[in-house]
Amino acid sequence: MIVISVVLVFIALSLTLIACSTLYWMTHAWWSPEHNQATSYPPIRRQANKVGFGQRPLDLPRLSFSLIMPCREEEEIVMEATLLALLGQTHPRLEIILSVGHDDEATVEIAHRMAEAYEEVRVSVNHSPVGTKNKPRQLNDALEMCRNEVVGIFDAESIAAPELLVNIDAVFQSRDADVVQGAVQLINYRDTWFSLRNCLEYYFWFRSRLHAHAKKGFIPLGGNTVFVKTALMREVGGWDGNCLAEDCDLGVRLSTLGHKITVAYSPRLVTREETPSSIRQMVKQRTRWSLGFMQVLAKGDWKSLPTRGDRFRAWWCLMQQHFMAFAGLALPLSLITALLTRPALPIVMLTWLPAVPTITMVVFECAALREFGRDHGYRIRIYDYLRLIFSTPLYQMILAFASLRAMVKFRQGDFRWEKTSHVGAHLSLVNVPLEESA
Amino acid sequence: MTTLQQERADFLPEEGASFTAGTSDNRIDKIRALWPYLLIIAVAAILAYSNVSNAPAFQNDEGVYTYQARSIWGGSLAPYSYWYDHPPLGWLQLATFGWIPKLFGLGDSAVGSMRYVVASYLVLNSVLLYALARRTGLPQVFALVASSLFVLSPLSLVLGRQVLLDNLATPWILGAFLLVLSRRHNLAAHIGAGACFAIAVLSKETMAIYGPVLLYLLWRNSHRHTRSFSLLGFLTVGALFLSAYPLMALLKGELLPRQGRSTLWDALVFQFVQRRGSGYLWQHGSARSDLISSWVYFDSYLIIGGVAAALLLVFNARTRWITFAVALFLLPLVASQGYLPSMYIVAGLPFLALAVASFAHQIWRLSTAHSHRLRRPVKVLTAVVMATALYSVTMPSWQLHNTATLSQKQNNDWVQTVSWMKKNVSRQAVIVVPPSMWQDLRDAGWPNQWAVIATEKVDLDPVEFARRHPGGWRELNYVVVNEQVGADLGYLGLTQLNRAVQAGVPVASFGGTHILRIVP
Repeated sequence: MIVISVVLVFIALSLTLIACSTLYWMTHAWWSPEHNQATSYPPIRRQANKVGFGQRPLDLPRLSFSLIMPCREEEEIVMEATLLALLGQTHPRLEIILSVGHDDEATVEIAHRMAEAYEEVRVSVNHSPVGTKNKPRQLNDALEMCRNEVVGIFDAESIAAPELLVNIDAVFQSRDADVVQGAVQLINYRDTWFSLRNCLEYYFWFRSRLHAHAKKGFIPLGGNTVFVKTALMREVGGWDGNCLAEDCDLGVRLSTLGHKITVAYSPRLVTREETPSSIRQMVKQRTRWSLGFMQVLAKGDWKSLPTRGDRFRAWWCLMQQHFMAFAGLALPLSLITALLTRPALPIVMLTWLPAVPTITMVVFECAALREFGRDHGYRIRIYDYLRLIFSTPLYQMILAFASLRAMVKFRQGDFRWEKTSHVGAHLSLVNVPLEESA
Repeated sequence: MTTLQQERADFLPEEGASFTAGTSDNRIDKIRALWPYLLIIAVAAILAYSNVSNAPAFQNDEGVYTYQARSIWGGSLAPYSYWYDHPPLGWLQLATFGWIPKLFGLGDSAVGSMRYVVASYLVLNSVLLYALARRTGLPQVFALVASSLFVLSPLSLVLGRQVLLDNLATPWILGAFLLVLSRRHNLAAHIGAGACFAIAVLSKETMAIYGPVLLYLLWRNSHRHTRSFSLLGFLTVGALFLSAYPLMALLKGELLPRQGRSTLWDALVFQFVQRRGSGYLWQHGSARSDLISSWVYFDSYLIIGGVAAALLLVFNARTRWITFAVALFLLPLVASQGYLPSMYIVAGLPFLALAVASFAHQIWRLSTAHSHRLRRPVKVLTAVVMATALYSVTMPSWQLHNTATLSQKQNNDWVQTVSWMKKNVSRQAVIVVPPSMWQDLRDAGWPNQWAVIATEKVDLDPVEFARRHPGGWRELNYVVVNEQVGADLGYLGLTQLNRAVQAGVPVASFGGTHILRIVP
């Protein structure tokens, strides 16, 4: 009985700790008015167009961009939408590189057709052997073709906001940054029962959590709408071709080298993406991410961070996938054990403690859903709030399952790339009128 | 950014002088900000600890919370059936700290020893009140006035040193106010305020009256971009902490009414429906009006002055919340006839003191704000007049009460009774004693809680009593009766015990305390 009690107490306390740290990261942007302010873009439009007396305008546009669009087995309509959003940028200095694999003939053909149609577009074909192909290897080939000062990544299912690059340019200048992470937002929140949660997860991630990581100087980057100075990208040898979370890995390596990474959020500048089309797809995607995080943790680049505190924060950040798996296993087990074995009352009460930060988080998610709706002009109904609340347990279980699956794959050394397929459900939801931009 | 700062400046409380200085002489400022705290701790500690186990006289409630705290050391919430009279967090705190005075051998009795813990809470409360006054925008001097009024009030020295749950709840409610008024508008502070509020309520339920003021302050004091998160964080965490109480009842299978068990439901029905009310304030001779008169007897100045000052504070937007707080505190006094606990005033005292000090500060500002030439003399004159008024009016009466509290030995009867019992009564005898004596006699060798029985448990823990003493009251050998027990016999309807008392023969008397031997 004593052993059971000790185990229960340990599980309860660690779950509480994990949940509290997640709560802190997730709510960082609302932590104080200063935080809320610091997460946004510098106010460039006013400065660029109407310069007030005594104000020095930012030199805009100043930088030039090479935008890489990695594609694999994409539908033409999906690729075209992404491409048109990039071509429609208000920033004049840009080139676009469509990155494809030589075995994916249909996509290669579409890419070449697009390159003929638009002079800013070129094609990079990756020739690495079939079976080892993945996103980072394609990106590395494309990087060699980049001629401009900043390289940016746009996945081939995402829609960039027209003024994004001008604003990114401004962030590079005003914050003297080496890397700028823009925000990605899933928007088809009404499609499936889990899409709302998925959208909100992205909202928290780019609206709040990444800013908290950036502030601490250790940030796993996202793989989309991320901008790095080309010279720096070449200096660090590009992306890690063996890593499933090449984006996270890049962030970790650049953080460890002490480069300045900033994150900026504005609802009107988010890049729009869609949620995975089914649970199966989502599990695949999450497994890949988890496995990637585990790889990055195992690679151990973070170990060369200067102070013990930095290393601990990095470790804690990269351990999230393990924690998720632990929570998924431990929480139901500890509740069942507590109910079946009936240990002393205080211990049973303690197993309930992790519920405090967890339920608080769900309530904050409701508040964030309201802001999400306001930011993007959607009418959020009571039904949506209920959907958000009641989908929580099942969604968390799916995430925990994906983490566990990743752990198993990690042990087996199975690092094959499982691509998530998209159907273009969000294309009808985005504001960019496709025909017009063409 | 500038707009944000401006916006903040609009709703920020004005900062005291010593907090705003630059970074160069930061350390000097820190020390300067620290000395009032040290001063308060020193003065409050002298007042709180002096003579604490001799006066005021031990109350039965103190005994109950003391033996329940000691019972937690043994792993249960109470030696008798816990009947959800109060959430247990109050005596959980006593249990947490109660071993410290015992370790140093402070206090000759169980209650006396526990009073050292409560006296520390009084010191803490005066410090927190100072911090709260500073955060409300009072300069050091006026914040010191608030704190000194609170700690010098005879009501504080009488009630504030007794082992009462209200005293244990007060720092948490003051903490909740401090956090809600946090200058950095930090979400953590607002979540923390929710937790503090819940802990205060779980220590003593009456603290719930301040909930609306906290919400009002939170609304006013949060930024519009983060307001929904602040409010929801406060409410959610508060509610989740509070839910620990019903959860505990649920796990014990005592949430809903159940044959032969004390349940939370029954306790709530008793507290809100069945418990005999205290009558209306204006009914002459009602328990309520008597109780309020007794508070006013100890300290008319802080009560009347505080209420008046609080009413006038409504005209200033920054201090309006004090009016709101005092009004909510007064609400059950004037607009209800429900049961009024005798220590209810404890939770109001800090806010009454804060009201007086804030009002004094506003008078001071009015009189010194305008003419430049007269400024210094007017300032000095105002200060002298105010200080003289404040302390010359209050001091004679306060001194009288406080001298008594700080010097008299008011527990002589109690001490003599306990030592008589220890010396003359066999440990095999079944005795019924007032709760204030219970722990000491239990420690003196009576084998269990049904050999030495706390007064009301004969009738109010009937199932257990009948199991241990199938012969009923006839199995009792001695009953100790003091004035409080005499009152409870009728008030609580202790019929079994009353029969025993009827059959009792006095064997010894010390003042108003009588030891009866029961002759069945």
